Amino acid sequence: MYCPLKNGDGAEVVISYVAGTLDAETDSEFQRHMGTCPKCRDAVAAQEALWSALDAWGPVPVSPDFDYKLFRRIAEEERGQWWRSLAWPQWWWRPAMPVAAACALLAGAFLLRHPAPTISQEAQTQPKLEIEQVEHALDDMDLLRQLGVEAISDKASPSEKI
Amino acid sequence: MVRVRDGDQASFGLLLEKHRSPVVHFLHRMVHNRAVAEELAQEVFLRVYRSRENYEPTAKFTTWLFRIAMHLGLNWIRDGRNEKFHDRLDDETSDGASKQVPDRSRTVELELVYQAKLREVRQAIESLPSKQRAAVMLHKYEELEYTQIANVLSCSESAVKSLLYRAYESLRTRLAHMA
Amino acid sequence: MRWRNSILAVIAAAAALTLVPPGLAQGKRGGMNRAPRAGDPGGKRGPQTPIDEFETMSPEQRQKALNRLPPAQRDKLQKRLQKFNALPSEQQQSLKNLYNRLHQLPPERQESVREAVSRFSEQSPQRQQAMREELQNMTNLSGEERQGRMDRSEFRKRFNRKEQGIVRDMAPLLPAQ
Repeated sequence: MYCPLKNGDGAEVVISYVAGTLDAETDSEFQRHMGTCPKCRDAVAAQEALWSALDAWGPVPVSPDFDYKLFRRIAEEERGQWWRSLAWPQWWWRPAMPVAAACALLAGAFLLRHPAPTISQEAQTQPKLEIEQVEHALDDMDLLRQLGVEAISDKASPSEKI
Repeated sequence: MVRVRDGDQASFGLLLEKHRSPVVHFLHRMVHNRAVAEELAQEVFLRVYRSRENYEPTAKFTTWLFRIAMHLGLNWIRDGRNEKFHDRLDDETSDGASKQVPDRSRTVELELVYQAKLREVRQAIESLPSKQRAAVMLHKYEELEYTQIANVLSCSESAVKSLLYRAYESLRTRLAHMA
Repeated sequence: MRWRNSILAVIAAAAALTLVPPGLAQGKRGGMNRAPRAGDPGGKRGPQTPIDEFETMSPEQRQKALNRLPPAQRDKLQKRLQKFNALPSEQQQSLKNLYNRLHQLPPERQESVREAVSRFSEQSPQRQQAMREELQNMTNLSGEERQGRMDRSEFRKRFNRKEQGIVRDMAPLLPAQ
């Protein structure tokens, strides 16, 4: 293999090699080339060190109620659409400010007087299996289906020898 | 996404399952605030949901998704509200504990070293010009292909390669002591 | 004028009360609780998946569980269950076996397997097939033999580094030998 660093595409090959995105043949060829090219070896080592350092910035966990909030927003938006279609006449705008304030106060008072059942109260009446577990199980099943289940069945099949 | 367009609601859940974390992580790296990142990520998926009936699979779905995320993230940053909500890079609460979730398998000493390393990496990436920063985040953390990155950043593939080359070179210099 | 505004305020407030979002009125549910999908180290669940458990509950218990979800999410879940139950029984069982093997792994390992499957699905169909065949070929090997196979140069020739990583990370799904 020609030396990528001596040609124009050296940086790209090194970056792609470390990222693991070279096609199998080029990847293999470059590995063989590195055996005889210290410059490429050093370049790869430097990029790998950087890659590893960048791995320190791991992902933050996503809030458990992310999906719930999103579906609620979707539901509110869909509900809001038919409400807006009533087409309020423009002269309603003027009393809007005191009305809005009154709405907020009374809605708050309603919620305070009718507190939601606490999670622990709900938990006492819950069946043992959490419905979310069923959802998660289905999520995993859908994910695993992408593998093409027959490929990793429990049935014995002769191994192709390498 | 084609199934969502054709009315299969369950497929939207699948999309969410697959792409929720990457989108939140990408936005968190852009805006440095978890609550804002999640808020913006919700907006991303809301827009996807709203556009479902008009969706045409002309490009990879992830490309479209990250384009929306990039657009929303940049808008938020440009709006200048980031100063008020920006988590400080040292990310400490009032009692001195780090907000970044500590790994309980590390000793206290190792945890401090890790947090210091994390700060340096974040600062190094933050110091890159915005397009280089975006290219690195999409390439390194979201593992998008060059063509996808080009689509998200609205530039050519060769421009992406050039961005990445310069970005990684800067980062290698700045973080060389971590090798 | 004042009295008219007061009446308008009362009418609008009454309207607002009927429009309080159900999520708020019902209080915090916790929604889709992303508690860690812990494995089942004690083997308490045995071969049953949560789907099996759900299906074997009484209709009243099933409905009670479903009623905890907002209507849209409930409908979605029911449709997904119908779709799963409509799969051929052999395919359902294979998926359940895979699921159980996944959930026997520690939580961090489970996440890395899930990520690997995600990365797998993003590859071209041809490369997916190549990786699938490789996993198939490793089905009957012991853990050590699988590791040995993945360390050999022939494996590295057939797959680029990304693909090698995907295969390695998915290998825990293979049945134990």
